Amino acid sequence: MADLTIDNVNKFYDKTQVLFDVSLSIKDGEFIVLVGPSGCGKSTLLRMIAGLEDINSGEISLGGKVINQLAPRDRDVSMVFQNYALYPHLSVAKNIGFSLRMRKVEKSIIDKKVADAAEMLGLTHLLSRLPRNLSGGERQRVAMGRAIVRDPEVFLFDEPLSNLDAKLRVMMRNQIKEIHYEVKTTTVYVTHDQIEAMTMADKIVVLNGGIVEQVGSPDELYDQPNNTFVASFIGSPSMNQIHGKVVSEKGKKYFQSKDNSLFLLPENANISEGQEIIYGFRPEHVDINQSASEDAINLKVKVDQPTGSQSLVFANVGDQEICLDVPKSHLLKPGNEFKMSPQLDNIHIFDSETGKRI
Amino acid sequence: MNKNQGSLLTSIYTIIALGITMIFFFPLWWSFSNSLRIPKETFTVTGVGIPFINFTPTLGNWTHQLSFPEAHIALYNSSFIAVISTALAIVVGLPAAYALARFRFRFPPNKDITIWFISQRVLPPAAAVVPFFVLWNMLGIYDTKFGMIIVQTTFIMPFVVVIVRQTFLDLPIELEEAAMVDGATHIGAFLKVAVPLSVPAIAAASLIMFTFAWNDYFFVSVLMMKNFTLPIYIAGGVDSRGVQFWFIAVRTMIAVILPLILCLLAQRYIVRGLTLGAVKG
Repeated sequence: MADLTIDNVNKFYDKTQVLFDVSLSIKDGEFIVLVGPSGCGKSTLLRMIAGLEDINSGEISLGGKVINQLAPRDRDVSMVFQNYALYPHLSVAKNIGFSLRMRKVEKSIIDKKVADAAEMLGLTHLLSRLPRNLSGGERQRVAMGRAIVRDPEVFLFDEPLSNLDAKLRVMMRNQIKEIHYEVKTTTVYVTHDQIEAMTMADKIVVLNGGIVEQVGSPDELYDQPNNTFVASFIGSPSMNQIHGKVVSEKGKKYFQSKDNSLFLLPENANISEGQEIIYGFRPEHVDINQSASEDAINLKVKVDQPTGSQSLVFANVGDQEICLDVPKSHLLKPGNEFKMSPQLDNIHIFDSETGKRI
Repeated sequence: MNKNQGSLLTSIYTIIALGITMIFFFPLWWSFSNSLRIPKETFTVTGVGIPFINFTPTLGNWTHQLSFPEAHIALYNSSFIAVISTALAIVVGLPAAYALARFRFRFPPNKDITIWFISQRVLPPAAAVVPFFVLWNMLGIYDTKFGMIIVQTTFIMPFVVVIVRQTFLDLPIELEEAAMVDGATHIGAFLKVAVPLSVPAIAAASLIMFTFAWNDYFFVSVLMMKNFTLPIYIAGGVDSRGVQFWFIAVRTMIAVILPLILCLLAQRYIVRGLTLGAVKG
């Protein structure tokens, strides 16, 4: 068991830089999720930890030992690939036992470990099958089995669930978490799906364009996003972000949007009158109609999307569309007017130029 | 044709295809038929030469030919040279194919190296034979099986490089990466994952290479004397007594049998192997 440290790592493909001074420290046993849009460098970083990509500068160390120059086989990491990468010519048992055979482990021990891993993943009845005769979920579990059978220092997951259907994905999410509780191996998990990140991670790393935007627990990222990118990336539906400036009226500070709607700002906010800001609030952090405050603004429903007990209501503030996640109501039908006020405790203010949290 | 087997169009296509096949295979059939006739019947048989109907077959030509040591020498030399050349081409060509598929060379770039391999097949053999003759004489390997194996290997290796390279390109690279993370060296990933998964393409390439080495007449005719192979032996049927069609027919049949058996054995691989490179599966 060991800590994984990534120190000022840079990566170039020819002359294009894809990772910029990435530093992370991952404690033993932590479940870290790297999340970001496609092309943000998250998979590249994972592959650098695995040893499948060169490191142009910086250091990656495992248990205090720099592993930059080590071949993948000497790093004691195991990896689950997006397309599972099962060896098509080998049976499930041989697939799971491959790494042990490569390490010349005794046959009786291999058989036992393979049987244990298969038991854990419910694959026992499939051990003699070839990968092509398995369903997507079963293949996924074989790929997991291949990773856990070796008892490595670090698990690496590269979007392992993206090829599964929605229902199976939720199931596998649980299974991966369960396995992590059981084996407590340090895990680095890459995904572009923020829900996967929120539900699974001890700590999330948000990457964008090769830069680490924010590192924190799912709650930290949700409650205190560092900047507008993290704010819009974490949470579904995305946080509403309205451009405008700060004005003062009757001794209170207000946010004035481009169409002159006024939103009350928290008193302790560190902003001055006339400052250009981005005013952010999550769709679920609003009060409407009777429960709305006296500073509520009037909006007209554009579209409503019922999601069961709740309803997603879309409306325009000026020319900017906002989304509200509110209890379903017959009053919120297209064309109807309603009152809305964002909850004062859950307002996020960002600098309009840098996008950084104020 | 029965209606259940397809539309009228399919039947017509099948008949045309059969007709074309029969035209192309007729010389081979004629050789077979001829090998079973006594010499004087070579030109006198009527019909299409069906044994027992158009003539009384005899194994005389076969027993006569097979009792001569020349036939054994030719068969042995041909087999030895073709098998060893093919094996050598695979041993040397597979790593080349893999390197071209998986590594990026800057100078010369991968594309140029691949083209260079193909150019060996484009080059007219006549352009290369004189240098080979001079060199082989200097090296003392003129008229040896060893010398011939080197020549054949040189000229058949492009097949394995080009065909299997494409197969390697089509293999998901994650398979080898997974093997390397799982504890294999790069060579281990190549041998344990990439090669086993390319067996169909390797089988197809081997068969093509074997056939080329087996059939080669030109290089053997120039670079060998006492050590001859089957094609030379077949041509030897023409002598001062004229063309001995009956013996040539037997020798041709002998020359056809081995590749034919290999073809049948490797059949299930070949069709897949030949299309493997072209179509992503």
